[in-house]
Amino acid sequence: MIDQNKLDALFVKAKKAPHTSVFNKTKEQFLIASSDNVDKTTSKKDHFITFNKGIIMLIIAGTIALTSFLMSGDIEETKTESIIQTQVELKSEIGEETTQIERKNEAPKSRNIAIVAFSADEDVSVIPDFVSISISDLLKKEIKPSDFGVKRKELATRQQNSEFVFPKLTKEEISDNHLQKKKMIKALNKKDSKVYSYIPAGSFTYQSEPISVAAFHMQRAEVTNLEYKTFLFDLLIQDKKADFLVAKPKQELWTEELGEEYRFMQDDYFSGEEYEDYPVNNISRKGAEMYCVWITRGANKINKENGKMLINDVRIPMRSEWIKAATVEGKFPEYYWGDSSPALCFRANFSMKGYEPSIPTNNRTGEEISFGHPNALTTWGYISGEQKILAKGKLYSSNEYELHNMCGNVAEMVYESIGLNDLGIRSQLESGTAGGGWMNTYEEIKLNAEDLYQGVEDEHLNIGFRVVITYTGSN
Amino acid sequence: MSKAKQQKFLDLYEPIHDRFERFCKARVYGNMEFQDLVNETLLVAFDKFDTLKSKQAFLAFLFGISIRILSNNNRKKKENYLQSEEKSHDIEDNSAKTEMDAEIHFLYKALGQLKETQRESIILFEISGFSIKEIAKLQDTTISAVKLRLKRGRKNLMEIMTFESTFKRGEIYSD
Repeated sequence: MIDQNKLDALFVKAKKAPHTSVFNKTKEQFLIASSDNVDKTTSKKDHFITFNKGIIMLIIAGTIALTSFLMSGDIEETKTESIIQTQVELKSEIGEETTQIERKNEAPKSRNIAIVAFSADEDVSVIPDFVSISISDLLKKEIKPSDFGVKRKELATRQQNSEFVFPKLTKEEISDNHLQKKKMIKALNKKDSKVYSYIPAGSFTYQSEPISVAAFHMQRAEVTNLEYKTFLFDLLIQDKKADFLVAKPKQELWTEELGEEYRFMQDDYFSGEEYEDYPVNNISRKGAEMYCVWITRGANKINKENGKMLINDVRIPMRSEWIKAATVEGKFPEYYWGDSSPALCFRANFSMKGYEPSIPTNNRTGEEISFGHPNALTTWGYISGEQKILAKGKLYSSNEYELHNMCGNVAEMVYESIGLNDLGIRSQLESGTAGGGWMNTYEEIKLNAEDLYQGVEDEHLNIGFRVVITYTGSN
Repeated sequence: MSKAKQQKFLDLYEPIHDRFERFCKARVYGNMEFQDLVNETLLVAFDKFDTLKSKQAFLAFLFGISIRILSNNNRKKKENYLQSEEKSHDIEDNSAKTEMDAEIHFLYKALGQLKETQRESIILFEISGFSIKEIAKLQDTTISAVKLRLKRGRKNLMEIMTFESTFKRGEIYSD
C-alpha cells in the first residue's frame, strides 16, 4: 500500500519534473494566435469600410451613366461604329499574339516528345534511376541521355555497394551542429552533473570475484541520437566521408528484422527530431569507438587552448566499471533498483515476451483498469499504450549514482578484459555488452545475466552505448 | 499598440511559464493536450489583459481563467460524461508522457481518476504550490471545503495507486 510519505515524494518529483515545451514555443504559438485575433477584428472593420465605399461608388457611377445617357442622343451612332472598328483591330492583335504564344509553347512540347522517344528507343532492360536523379535535379541540370537510365545489373551492384547519397547540410544546420558540439564538449569538460555522474574508486566482491576500479565519470543516460548525429554531421563538415560511412547507423535493420510495419522507425528514429533524446542503436562498435575519439579530441582541443588539464580519454566502459556503476559496488546484484515495490514494467524497458503483468484494479470500485497496449513489443510500449519501442534516456528512475536505464532499453557496449601481460596490465580486450536491451526478457536484462552479444561488433537493433571519462592512462 | 501589449503580456508570463504548464499538464492528463489548454488560456487572458489590476495577481489570473475554461468545457460535455470518464484511461497525452518519469506518468494517470474538484485542489496545492486560501478563492468555495477535498483526494489517490503493489516482482513473473 502506498503511504503518505511515498505520495509526498511523488508530488515533489512531479513538482520538479522537467517541462516539455520551452517558453519560446508557447510564445510563438501565442503570437500567431493573438495576431490572428487582432487581424480578425481589424478585417471585420475593413470589410465594413469597403462595403460602404462600394455602395457610394455604385451610386456615383449610376448617376454618371444616367446623365450621359440623357445627354448622348445623336452622337451614339458614330460611337457604335468606332467601337466595332476597335473590336476588330483588337481581335486581329489578339489572334497574332495567340499564335506567337502557341509557337513558344510548341518548343518545350516537342522537347518532351523527344525525351519520351529517346526513352522508348533504349534497351528494355534500361530502367530509370530515380535514386540518383531527383526531380529537382532534372529541372536544374541539363538533361543528358546517360542520366535517364542505368542497366539493371549496374543498379543492383550500385545498391549492393550502397552508393550512399551524403546529406547536404544547410548553413543553418552547420551552425546548429557547431553549437550542439560545443554544448556537448562543455558538458564533458565541466563534467556536468546533468550529463555525467561521478563514480568513486572502490573495491568490492562480485559473484565471488574481487573487483577493484579507479574513479571515473559515467554518462547518466545512453548516448542519444542527437549526440551521435552531431558527431556524424561533424564528420561531414570536415569532409571525412569514409569515416562517415563506417560510423553511420544501419537504419534498414528496423525493417529487415521487424518487417515493413516498422518502416516508420527506419525513416524517423535516427533522423526525426522527436527521437533526438532516445538512445542511438544500429551502430557498429567501430562507430562508437570513433565517437569516443572524436569527443575526446574535441574536448582536449578546447582544454589545450585554455591551458587546462587534458582528459585522459572518453571511451566505452570496461565491464568491471560498468558493473560497479550499475550494481553500486555489488549492492544490487540483479536489478539496480533492488526490491522496491513498483512493477518491473515501471522500472525498465524490456521485451514483453514472457512477461505478463496482472491487470490492475481500482481499489475503490473493484473494476479492472484499462491499461497498456495489447500488442506492445516492449514494456514502455505497454505502459505508454502506443507502438513505442525504445524509451528516452532518462525516462525511468535512476540508481544511487543517478544512472538511468542500466537494465534494458539498449544493451550497452563494454570491453571484456580477457588477458593480462607480464606486468599484470590488461592486454587483450574483447567486445561485450551489459544490461540487456528492449529485445531481451526481464531475466536477460538482469545485471548479472549472461551476455548474449559477446563478440558482436556489427550494427544491432538492440545495442547502444554510453561513455566513461577516465583519469588514469589505462588505454 | 497591440505588439506592445503582446510584449508586456509575455514579459509577465515568461517567469511563470513552467509553473503554469505543469498545472495544465497534471490537470488535463489523459483528457486533452495540455498545450491546447495553455494556448486557450493565454488567448483569453490576453483578451482580458486590460482588466488585470495588479501584476502580482497575474498567476492567479491565469489559473482562474484555465479553471473556468475547464469547467465550461465540462458543462458542455455533461451529456457525454459517462463516456468520457471511461475514455479517460485510453486517451494519452503523448507529448507529456515521453518526457516523464514512469512513476509521474502513473501518478498523473491516478490523478485523472479523481473527482474534478478533488483533482484540481490537489494539483493546485501539491504541484502548483498555492495556499488553501488561494485555492478557495480560485475554486470559488470555502476554506473548509478545500481542506476536505485535499483530505479525501489524497485518501482516494492512495487507494487508486495501491494496485501498483499487486505488480510486485514475485507476482508478475509468469514462469
